[in-house]
Amino acid sequence: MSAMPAAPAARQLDRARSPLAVVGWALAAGSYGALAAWGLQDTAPALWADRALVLAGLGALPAPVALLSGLTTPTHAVTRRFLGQTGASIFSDAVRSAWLLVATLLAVPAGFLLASFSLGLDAVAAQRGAAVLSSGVLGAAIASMTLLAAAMATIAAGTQGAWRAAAGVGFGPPEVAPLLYAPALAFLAGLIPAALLTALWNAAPQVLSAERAWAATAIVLVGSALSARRRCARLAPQVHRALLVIEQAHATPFALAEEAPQPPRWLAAQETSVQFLGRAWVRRYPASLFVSVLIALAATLAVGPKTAPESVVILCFAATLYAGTRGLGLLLAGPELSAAAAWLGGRSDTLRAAERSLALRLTTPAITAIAAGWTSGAWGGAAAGLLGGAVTAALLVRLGHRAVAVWAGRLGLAAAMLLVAGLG
Amino acid sequence: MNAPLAARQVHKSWLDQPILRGIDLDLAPGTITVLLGANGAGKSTLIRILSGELIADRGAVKVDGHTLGEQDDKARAKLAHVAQSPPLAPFLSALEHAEAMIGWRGLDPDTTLARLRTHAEALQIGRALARPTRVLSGGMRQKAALCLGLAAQTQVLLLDEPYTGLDIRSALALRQLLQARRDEGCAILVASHLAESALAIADRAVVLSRGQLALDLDAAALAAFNDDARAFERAVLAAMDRGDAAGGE
Repeated sequence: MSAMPAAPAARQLDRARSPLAVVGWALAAGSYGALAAWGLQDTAPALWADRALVLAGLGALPAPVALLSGLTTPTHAVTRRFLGQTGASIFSDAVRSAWLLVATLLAVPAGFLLASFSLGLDAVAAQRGAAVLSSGVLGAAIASMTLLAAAMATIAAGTQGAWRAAAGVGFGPPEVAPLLYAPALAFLAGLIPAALLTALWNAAPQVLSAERAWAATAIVLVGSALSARRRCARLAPQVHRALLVIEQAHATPFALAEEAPQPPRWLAAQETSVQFLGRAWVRRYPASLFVSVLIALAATLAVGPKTAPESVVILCFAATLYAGTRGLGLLLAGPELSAAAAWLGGRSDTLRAAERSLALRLTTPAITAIAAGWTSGAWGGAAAGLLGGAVTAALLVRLGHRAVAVWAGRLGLAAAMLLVAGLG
Repeated sequence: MNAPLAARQVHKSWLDQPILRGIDLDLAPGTITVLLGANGAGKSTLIRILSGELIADRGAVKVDGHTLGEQDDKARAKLAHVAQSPPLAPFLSALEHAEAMIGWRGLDPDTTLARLRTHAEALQIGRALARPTRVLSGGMRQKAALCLGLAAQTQVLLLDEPYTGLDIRSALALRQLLQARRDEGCAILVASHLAESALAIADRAVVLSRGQLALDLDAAALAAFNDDARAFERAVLAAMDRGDAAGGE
């Protein structure tokens, strides 16, 4: 297998790609840049650097999130098409012309600068901001492609046991498990250049002149792009092979499909009802940890915690959200779990006791949040208290009792708003 | 009532339309009773009432002397019910269902799991036991549920159309598994609309028509058919017609 041909899907897409798609993408990127400038308009100059990083983070989200949602859940035909076409397209762009990247590279700063000049923002600050935005957005895109290519190479080589276990249940065949975490890592890695520029802007603004900001951005991006291009080109045969592996994995008949992973150790030691509910709980939405980390990161960037308790509150918020999404999963699965449990001989009182047991474990972050929030001020305390109440209600809710879930959701929303208001 | 399962004067209506009209049915230990009837005759409704999943409008069902609805936990612990669409939890494997069943019913883990694996091998789903049921096909889910029901080691086993979706080899294997459970003393009720497969396995056959038992054939009466499935079908159809005529009056 020394010289694999280029992926047929990629070749077809090259022919099929319309110039209008590139123009449309450039317009969207330019609009994002303009909106980012508008977002800076009412911000105090001292906070511009941090706000620019937050905006860069928001702009950097779509690429890895699209990859996460599109590549890790290809259990139906639509997503398989996504994998076969858009996935191949991304590699095609990375390895060959990268028109979308070029469009983004030009459109994001262009849109930002045009808007900032028309809004009357400081010219030097605007150019620094454009540099941060460009490096964040494009850094995440480049990192996504690089890490995705690496994940595909792992798949092509044969996914090992650790990756298979990480896949869990609900994200398709274990063969594609390495794709699960590539987008998250890409998001974090891609923001590093933007964070460094922001730190320099905050620490020594005189050093980060407009010219130096542009030069640093150009060096980082061009270097990253060249490196990514070289790596993707080198990995092209493996990528093609991985696409075939993935296609084959999804075509695998039922009889050879994935095995249920082992439950967490703490769960294996619990009594029957807790194990039964807990297993369904931990498997239904295995990616919610990533979402929680992402939200914690966004909250950290947006709020900019100044004290340790504030940081703890944000961490607890993310952990609680994680527990809450799992709880929501259990709630949604409630009727089917109740039916299965009754069929197997489970009793409703033991199931309710199991729910309480799980809830106590998972409300620990919420209780910590209350304590931490209380020490950080009345607003934070109130928010954390509401949050704790919401999560407790959500976790204690009887299976399938949707009215309580609605109230838990309202309390949670109020808590989140108070938390941001109190800390911000 | 000394039978493992005894139903007396079971009545059930849906929207004022009578479905079951005074059913009396005893299941003897170590027998396979086949419940026959046309589509919509009320077979599934009767099985759901006998399993405690549905509550009868009138009448009583006792399982090993415990009345369903009054001593529900004790009564339901003595029986297993495999419906046409078994309520399997999609994110758990059949093995994990078995572990939960062992815990809740207080079964011996080694014996139960060994039985489960044996049944699964016989029904050709041994490798699927560790997979989440959501990735299994409809037929494999049905087989997994049958394996769980058989492994539960209950005194009463209620099966609703267990042959639906099974290939010939699996259907033969299921017949052998049911006969083995019968020989262990289990009282088995199989709802079916296939007279031929019923004749092959039944120690007793009852025909449900218009909400009433229109025919009740014991082992001797079934033996008289001498494996003549056509003659048995004619007898069943005649009973259904009689039931229809009586219901229409």
